[in-house]
Formats: sequence, C-alpha cells, structure tokens
Amino acid sequence: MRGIDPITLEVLRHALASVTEEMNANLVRSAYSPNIKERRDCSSALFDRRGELVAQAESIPVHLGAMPFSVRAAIGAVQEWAEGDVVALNDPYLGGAHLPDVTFVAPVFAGSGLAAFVACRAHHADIGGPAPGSLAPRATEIYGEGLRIPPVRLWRRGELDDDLRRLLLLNVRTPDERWGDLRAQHAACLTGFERVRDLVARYGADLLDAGMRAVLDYSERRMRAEIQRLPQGSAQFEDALDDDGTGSGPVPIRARVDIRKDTVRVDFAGSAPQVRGPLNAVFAVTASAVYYTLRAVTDPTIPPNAGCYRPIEIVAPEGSLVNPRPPAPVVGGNLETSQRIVDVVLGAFAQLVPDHVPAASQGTMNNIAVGGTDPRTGCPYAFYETIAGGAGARPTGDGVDGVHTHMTNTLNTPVEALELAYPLRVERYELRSGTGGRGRFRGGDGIRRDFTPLGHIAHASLLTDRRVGRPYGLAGAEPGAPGENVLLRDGEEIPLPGKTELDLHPGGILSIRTPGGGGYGPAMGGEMEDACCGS
Amino acid sequence: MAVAIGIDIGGTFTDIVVLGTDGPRLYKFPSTPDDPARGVVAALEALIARGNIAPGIVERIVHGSTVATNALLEGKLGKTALVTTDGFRDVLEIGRQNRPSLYDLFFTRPEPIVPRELRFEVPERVGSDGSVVRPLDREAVVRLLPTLREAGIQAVAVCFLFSFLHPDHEREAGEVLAGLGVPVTLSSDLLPEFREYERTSTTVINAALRPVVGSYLSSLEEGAARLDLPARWPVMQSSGAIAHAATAQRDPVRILLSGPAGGVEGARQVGLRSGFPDLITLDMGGTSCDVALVQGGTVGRTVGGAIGGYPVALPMADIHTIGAGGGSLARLDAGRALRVGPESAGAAPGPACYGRGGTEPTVTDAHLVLGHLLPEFPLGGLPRLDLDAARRAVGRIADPLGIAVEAAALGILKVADAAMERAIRVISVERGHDPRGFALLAFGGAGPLHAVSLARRLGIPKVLVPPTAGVLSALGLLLAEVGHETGQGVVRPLRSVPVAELAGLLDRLQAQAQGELVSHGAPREAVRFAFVAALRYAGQAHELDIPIALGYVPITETQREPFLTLDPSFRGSVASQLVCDERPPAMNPGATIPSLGELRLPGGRQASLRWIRGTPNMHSPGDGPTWIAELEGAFHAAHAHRYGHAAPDETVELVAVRVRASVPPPEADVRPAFAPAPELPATCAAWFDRSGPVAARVVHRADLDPGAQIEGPAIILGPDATTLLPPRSRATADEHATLIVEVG
Repeated sequence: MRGIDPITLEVLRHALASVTEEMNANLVRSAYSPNIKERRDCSSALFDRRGELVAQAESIPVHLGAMPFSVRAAIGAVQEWAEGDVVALNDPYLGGAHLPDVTFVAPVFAGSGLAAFVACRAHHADIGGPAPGSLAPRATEIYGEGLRIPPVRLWRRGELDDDLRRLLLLNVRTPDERWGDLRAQHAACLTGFERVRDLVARYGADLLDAGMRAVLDYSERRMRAEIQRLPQGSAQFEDALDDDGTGSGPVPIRARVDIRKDTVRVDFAGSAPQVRGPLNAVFAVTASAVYYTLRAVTDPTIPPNAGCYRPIEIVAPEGSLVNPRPPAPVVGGNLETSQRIVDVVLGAFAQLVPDHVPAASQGTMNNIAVGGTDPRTGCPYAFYETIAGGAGARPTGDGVDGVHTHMTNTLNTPVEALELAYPLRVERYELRSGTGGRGRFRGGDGIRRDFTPLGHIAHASLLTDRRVGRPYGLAGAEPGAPGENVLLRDGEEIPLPGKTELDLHPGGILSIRTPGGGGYGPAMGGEMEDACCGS
Repeated sequence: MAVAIGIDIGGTFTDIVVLGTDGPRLYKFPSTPDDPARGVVAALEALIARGNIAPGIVERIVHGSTVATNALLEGKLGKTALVTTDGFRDVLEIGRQNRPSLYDLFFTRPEPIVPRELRFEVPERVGSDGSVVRPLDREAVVRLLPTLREAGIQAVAVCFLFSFLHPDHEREAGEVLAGLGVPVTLSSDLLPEFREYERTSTTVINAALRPVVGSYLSSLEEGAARLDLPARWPVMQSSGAIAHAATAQRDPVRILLSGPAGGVEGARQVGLRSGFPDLITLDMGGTSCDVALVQGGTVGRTVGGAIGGYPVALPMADIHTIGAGGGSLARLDAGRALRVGPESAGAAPGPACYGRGGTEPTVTDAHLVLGHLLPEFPLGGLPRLDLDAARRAVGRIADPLGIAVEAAALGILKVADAAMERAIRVISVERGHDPRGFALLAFGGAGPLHAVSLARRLGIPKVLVPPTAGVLSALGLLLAEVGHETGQGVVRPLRSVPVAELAGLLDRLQAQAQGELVSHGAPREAVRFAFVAALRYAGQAHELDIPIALGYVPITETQREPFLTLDPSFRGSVASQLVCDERPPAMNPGATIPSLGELRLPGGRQASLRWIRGTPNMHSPGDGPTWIAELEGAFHAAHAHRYGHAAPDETVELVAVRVRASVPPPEADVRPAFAPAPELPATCAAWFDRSGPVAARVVHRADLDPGAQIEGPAIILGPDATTLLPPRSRATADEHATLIVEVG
C-alpha cells in the first residue's frame, strides 16, 4: 500500500478526480466552438511525474485511455521541461486519434520539482485539408487530411510562441475560433496547475506522489479482481467494415481474447492490412476501443487510470487496419472503425461471458456533413451531425431504440434548432420500426432522418457503415437490418453508397436510415404463432 | 392572532411550521406515501385536537409536496395520448439520442411516458419562420376522437413543430380534442419555446400528471374543508416561488421539485435576513445531500433540468444531489478503499445506533462514536442512541484495518466530507464561482454536523446554521414569494427584432403573468416583474439569461468605483430596494438587477455594472436602439464573465424572452419559540482528530440569546439538528437566532 491507508486513498481519489473534472469544466466553459461547448467532444487528464495516467474526465468513450500515448510522445520529444511549458500535438501516429483532435500536455512544477503532468484533448471543428470540418472522405494519405502537428512547445516557460501560433492558424479555416479553442485548452492546463499545486500544499509532494501511485494500484487491484471473476479461456471473433471509402471491401477485423488468471490479452492478428481510404484506426484508437470494452464488461466504476489498464495486453500487427503505418489516412478510424473494433472484441467476450454481453449495436456513427450557401443570407454554412441507431438486444431484454452506442454519445441537433440555423428542412425523424433483429429479445430499432435543402443546392458528404454488413445477433437471434442511404427524387428511391458525396437539389430528399441492433436468443414468436394456427 | 401554516410533505416525514407573530413553531409527523393527502389531513387534525392550532385563525396554508415527483418516478400517471406533426411522433422516444451512462452495456432509458401506440400524427407543418407550410388537417384530428375514447385516455398532450411561432394549429387541434372531456395540454400554452424534444417532454409530463395531481388537490381540499381550514392551498413550485392551487392543477409539471426548492428558498430567506446574499446551501438529510448556489440573493436556476431522466424545460432551482447523508453506509471495497455511500441504511433499519436492527456502520454511527452526538439527547422522537451498537458497527471498518474505532470513525467522516466537497465544487468552481466568496448555509438533520469541517476544506470563511435547520423547507414555504413565469421563444437575431415588437411582447407576457396572479387573489399593485432575455451567439446551442433591467448600464469601463453599498439591515431582494426607490416613469417596477460586481473583460480590463437613474424608456422608439445595444452589451459582458471571452462582432440571437411576476411574502419573524432546554452536561468528550478526545462544551440553542458567543470545541444541540464546532471555530447567535460560525 506504500503507506497510504484506505481513508487517505479514498480522499485523494476524490481530490484527483476533481482536478480533471475542473479542468474539463473550464475547457468546456472557455471554448468557442459548439463542438466542444455543446457536444463536449473533449477530455482532461492528470498524469503522475512518470507519465502514468492517474485520473481522467471524459464525456465520450473514444477519448478513453488514448492520451497516455500523447503524453509519452511529449515526454519523448522534450528533453528538459520548464515550468509553464505546454506542448501541443495532433499527430495520430504519436498518440493522437485523428487530426482534428489536438492534445495539450504540460508539466506541473510544485514544491521542489516536477509533481505531475496535465493533459487535455479537444476535437477542433477544422484543422485544414480539402474538406470543411477536416473529414475528407476521399483522402488516401494523411497529408490530405489536414495539418499534422508533432509535439511542439506552443508555450515555453509560460510565454506563447507566436511564430508557431501563426503557422498553426494560417492552415485552418476558422482561425479565430481555433485560437479561442486552443486558449480554452491552455486555460484547462492552468486550472490543472493550480489544483495540483493546491494538493501539494495540502498533502506535500511526497504524500501526493505516493497517493497517485496508490490510486493506480487500487484500480489495478479492482480490475484484476474483476478479470479473475471471468471464466478462463480464449475466444475469437471476426466482423468487417463494408468498405474502405475508396470502394474496396469488405475489410475484416479479427480479435482473439485470452483470459488468463487476472489478465486479458486482445490480439488482432488476422485483421486486414491497412487500407487506402481513411478508415485506418491508429493504435491509440484501437486501445481506446479495447479499454472501453473491458470497462464495460467488468465494473465501470473502477477509476480509469493506468493501473486499470495494467492487466490488459493489446497486440495489433503493424501495418494493419488497427495499427497502420504512416502516411495512411485515419480520419474515419476514430469514427467508424473504432465501433467495429468494439463489436469484434465484444463478440469474442460473448463466447466467454455470454451473460455480460449484448448483441451488436448499430456499429456506425452515421456521419453526415451538409454545406452550401444559405439563400436567406448569402453566407456559406456547414452542418455536421451523427445519427443514432439501434442498440443490441441483451441477455435480459430488448435493445434500446434510436440511441448512440459504444464509442460516441453526442447529442442530436433538435429539428427546430437545425431548421432555424440552416436552409434545410427535416421531413421526417422517426424510428424504423422492425429494423431491430428478431429474437427472444429484439434489437433496438434504427432511425430515419430525411433532409431537404430549401431554395439552394446543398453539398452532402456521408461517412457511414453497416450499409452492407449487419449488426450481429447472439444466441441464435437474427441480426439487425442494415442502414440505407437513399435519395428520394420525383417519387423515386435512388440508393446511395455508405461513403459518398453528392449535390442535393431542392425537392430532393436525402433519407438516412440507420441500422437496427442485433437480437438475442432464438426467436420464439413465429413458431408459437404457427403452433397456434395449427391447433 | 392570525397564523400561517407551512407543510413540507417528504417521503418519510411531514414537517409542519406554524408561523404566528411569536415566531415559528415546528412539528414533525410521519408521511403516508400511499395516499399523501391522508397523512397531512390527519396531522392537522391532531394539531387541532392538541390545541396547537385553532382553525379559525389560520390565514393561509402553503405546502410543498412530492406527490408529482413520486407519480413521475413510479410511473403512476394518467393514461395520456400525444398528438404530433406528421413524421415526428418518435421525437419523444428518441430524445437527444444519447444514453444516460457511458459504459453500461445494460443501460436503459426511462420508458417514454406515452407509448408509441398512443402517439398520433396529424398532417400539418409550420416552417422555421412561423409560416404555414402545410395547413392542419382538422378532419384528421376529428378522426382520432373515437380511438382516443376507446383507449380510455385520461389526458392529451399536443406538440407540433414550431408551434411557439405559430400556435394556431395546436389551438385548433386542442378545440377538437376538448370534445373528449379530459384535460388537454398544448405545448404552445405551457412552454412556447424552441427545442421540440424538451418541449414535448415537458408537455407530456404535464398532461400525465394532471389527473393525479388534480385528485390529490381535491382530497386535500375536502379534508381542509372538513377541518374548517382554508381550502385552496398554494403549492411550492420547482422555481422557488409559490403557485396558486389552480395553477398547480393546470400546470402540475411546475411543482416537480417542490420539496428541495422549498429548502433552498428557506435557506435564501434566512441567509438574507442575516445579511448574507451569497450562499452555498447544504441540505444533508438521512440518505442524500443537496447543494445549491444563491448569488446576490437569487437562487441559481436552470431550464435544463431533468427528473428521473425526463427533461423539464421550465425554470427550476439548480440543485446538485449526491448520495451522502447521515444514513450513508461505510464499507471497505474490493480494492481496499474506504467508501461511504451512496448506499444508505435508509429509514429502516437506519443507522446501527438507532437500535432497529442495523449492523452496518453509517455516518451517524461515526458521529456518535466520536462524541458528536449525545446518546441521551436524540433528535426527532428517536429513542436513546445505542453507543455500543455504533462502536460495534464502526468496528467492522476498524478491525480489518487494525486501527482504533475512533480512527475509523474519523475516517468515515473524512471520506463523507471529501464526497461533499466534490459536490460543492461542481456547483461552484465548475460553474465559474469561487466558493471562498460565499457563506455555507447548512441545514437538514446532518448538515450542521459537517458544515464547519467542509467549509475549512473549501476555504469558506463563514458557516450559517439557522435555528430551524431541520424543517427549513417547511419554513421556506411561508417566506417565499408567490410567483408565475411565462416566456416566448423568438430565435431571431436580436438586432432584427423591431423594438416595438419586443416591447409589445414584453407587455403581453407581463399582462399574462400578472393576470395569472391577480385572478387568484393577488393585489394588482403588489405584483412585481423581472424580465429576462435568453441570448446567445448565433450558432451556439446554449443561451445565457440576461436580465432586461430597465435602468441598468453595463460595460462602463470605469475604475473600481463603488457603485452600490447595501444597508446591512436591508431585507428582501436587491432589486426591490433599488427599483422602488428609483423607478423611472413609465417603467415596470421590480426589474431585477443582474449580479452586481466587477466583470473581467478580455485583456484583463475591468468593467463594473452600475445602476443609474432615469434610464431610456424602451417604449419610446427613439431610445430603442440604445436599449438593444445595452442588452447586447450586457450579454457580451455576461459571456465574458462566465466563459472568459466575448465576441462583440458576432451576431447575438434572441432565443426567448421570459417574465417572472411575483408578490413578495409578508414580513415574518423566523425566530422559533424554543421549548426550554433540557438539563445538559457542561462538557463532553469529543474527538476531532486522531490526537484524542477533548472536552467540548455542550449548550442548547434555546439558551443562546442574540450576541451569545460559543468557542469551539463545542456541541450545540437544537430541537432538530446538532451543530458541531471543532476547535478554533467560534459561533455567534444573531438577532434571528441563526448561528454565524467563523470557521477559523
């Protein structure tokens, strides 16, 4: 226990967690862009002076456990830290997720020396590249996805490096908003500095450091105890993405899960090689998806930190879809591939702990971006959203209808808010009845959301999956219905691919229909009915 | 001698405060959750029988009730149908498409209050500019009638897209549906603001509560009539203002947070009386702890609240609740950390020291072990506390750790404090307020035991403990103002709204809110108004409420000049004081002043808010642009204050305007008439840290005259709560019998 008693441990656990919560609250509060302020696509974390993750506050799982890679990269890049230094980076190949996610890492000096590191990550609405929003569906290299930032000190000893700032802002579409969001990230770091110094003043540097280690050991003990309760053994599962965005597919992902005593090993050997389109998931994203899955099948109340992940080993072949080499493009790895990785790892767990695991959920975020010139104002607009779908049925009941699952949890844009802000009308927003997979328990239904442009031609890009493959059912149940992207024009339904761009004319309706969740357990309904009729 | 009665009906206890000219008298009775009206009537009957109240002299009865909350949480609602725009009946079920817990694979969402088969679509559509895209198909509504009758519907909700801009379709449908003879709630009547999911949810909850709350209020009315008491009892709303019974019956969704809002309102009132307009309120009871913020004498409120997972977009007190109370259970978890709560021993068996069969250690047991509670002087009619049982229970923590029972008890309190500290940081630091600028007002049975140690953790210099700490919610009912709020969604650039239109809108809302109060007996001239504009930068999803304070000049970049000093003896709200004195002609009385103080502007500049006299008259067209510019300026300043930056070049959007009409309560003396104090020991041995017990003074609040000072360590007993003064703290009783503690 390194001299930390259970009382101090619990008191420090609260204190350390509130450091990251306050950092994140300040980040959300000071941010400029709706994506951070309203959708809360950001997270904040505290690391000990060795760079081990101690506490994290996040509101979507895709940020889970991914920052340690960034902190490691920052520590590797900076030989000598000074008080007030703040490193910025977004390189997915150095711990980022995709280019829009910019991470700040900063050391905290207190008392006699280095006391901790703080870090925060935020999804920026634009980071350059060919498409507004930096979600280029056709990129074939990371160079085509936007500005790539290695670990660089944007602040040195508390002084902003203005040269670097100008270089960054020249490469993005909305520099004022970007700078506002970057300053919000800096503000979050400053909150972290202040709170860590308070804790050093209250407990002393040595006790605080011992306390951080004790919190890591605590999470590790709880995680090992949880894993030990799972049955020993191995299982393998495979599923696939429909395509890589450039038209080739399916793209398989395979995972083998081994539970040995109090450890878990997840091996992705046999997964597809990296692909030409932007669906590659860098290792940090793959790790996030695995950590998410492990938290979900064990006890989600275990404080998420490095200790919690010690018993988990992840093996991902280099040059594969789940651990690509540069310069493979990666923007959709975070959005779509991360969902499929969860499906695959959960599919393996379903064989080992069938009572703990639901059938597949929709398995896509249904990314849709629409832009054009607003005829009411003559100004350009850009609108981005993700659409929920069906959740998988569970061993205990039906799946939830029309809900975001696994790696995302962002809010929708209310229909009234959308129509007030953009020259678009939503013609229909409803559940797709009957799209959940049939079974003893029914999968959740997907959603249908229909858009039409008003008085102008709009440009739409779609990054969606599970339009061919279907979310699997479990224990003999049926899979969920696949999603459909459809253009309704002159009374005709024209099917669209899962990943595409198109011009939308007034009178035309873009109908996004998201997948249903898989069912659970053999369907009894049909047979029963037959039996009734026969008697 | 007339009296007023406040009744707070909780899940376990019903607290009754009888307020006459000689101060409040306090009573506690068991609640009857199966039929809430029965217990209340029985309690009043008992008070009459015992001679505690004489029916003839009861002037008014105000009550707070969990009846609506319980009906919602337990799903015991009226069978309700929902009528929506064609293509949108599932909005209620999809919600905002998010899930409540990130990592729970077995998550569920609350069942939609109206199931799919009772949600009906009718052809109609209004566009985002309020124009009719598709007229209402009235016949389609008529065709629903037989189906709804057959289904045995008890209430109907109607929510069409953009009805806040064009309510005619809802009204027409409402006329047709009135033929069913059941209550119909139109979203454009209840909450004419944008965001269809939140509006639909609020409307549906209201509809479904109407049959339940209606029959509850009727039972109360019958009971009261039988006892010869005033029959129509006003009810506390979630916003902290009192509503007439008829309003509660029509809009029961407004009373969902009745109980907790009464507590915060009581805290605000006693805080103001003692001269503390900035408070963090801490209501710690048996199972949970509610914290809220009062700033500048105003309770922090939100329109983004949810109850049981169901959004309610009407204003409610912004209260943060965590599972830490006197009954919270302590245990060592699988990773060997000492955890306290959220599991609770509840009312049964309760803490081990209650001697009702509890064996697990609780926070209350820890206090007893440490000598913070005296076994022979329990609260609330409990039997003598069992110290041995408490020591045995806490031993379950101490033994495996190999530490003394007292050390384990101190640990339990430390962990409970850490959890509460975090809760207070959520409502203060995380919302941009430094807790050190506030006083901590503690109430509830357990709040005053923790307040001083908690204040020390947060750097809060002063703690307030009102004399009625255990029944503050009931007292708050009698001190609260009567009020009604109404609003109107606009969602257009502020500068594009003609001033005359805006002034007309404010007039209409004002008349509506005033009418609501006057029709239920409020004297017209007593009604005051506060106007708010909900503003945001175009593109943002959340707005800030900016008071439309007629006579308020923001952003004058001046030196730090003192612009307002408050007379220490002042009572009531800042706004009422100022506006009554300096009301410019043709202005509405009662406009609320925004938070007064300094603003930080980008670049470290200071700006102060100033009250000036003789402001421009918004009804005079010539002054309109100034007025709009001031409102806009106030928004930029508020944005800078709250978020650290402003964007003066960006378009400011007017999302909604709201008006709050209120009638202030009569002045009342809140010093309770304490029963004579029992014979107490002069000191007792109490533990405050691991160095061992110290001799703590034991006093009773009944013996503390105004100005009396008590140095810690001390234990101050009261009729319904015990206050713990650790060493180095010092309490002074003020003229209202509130203890003001310097935490030291």
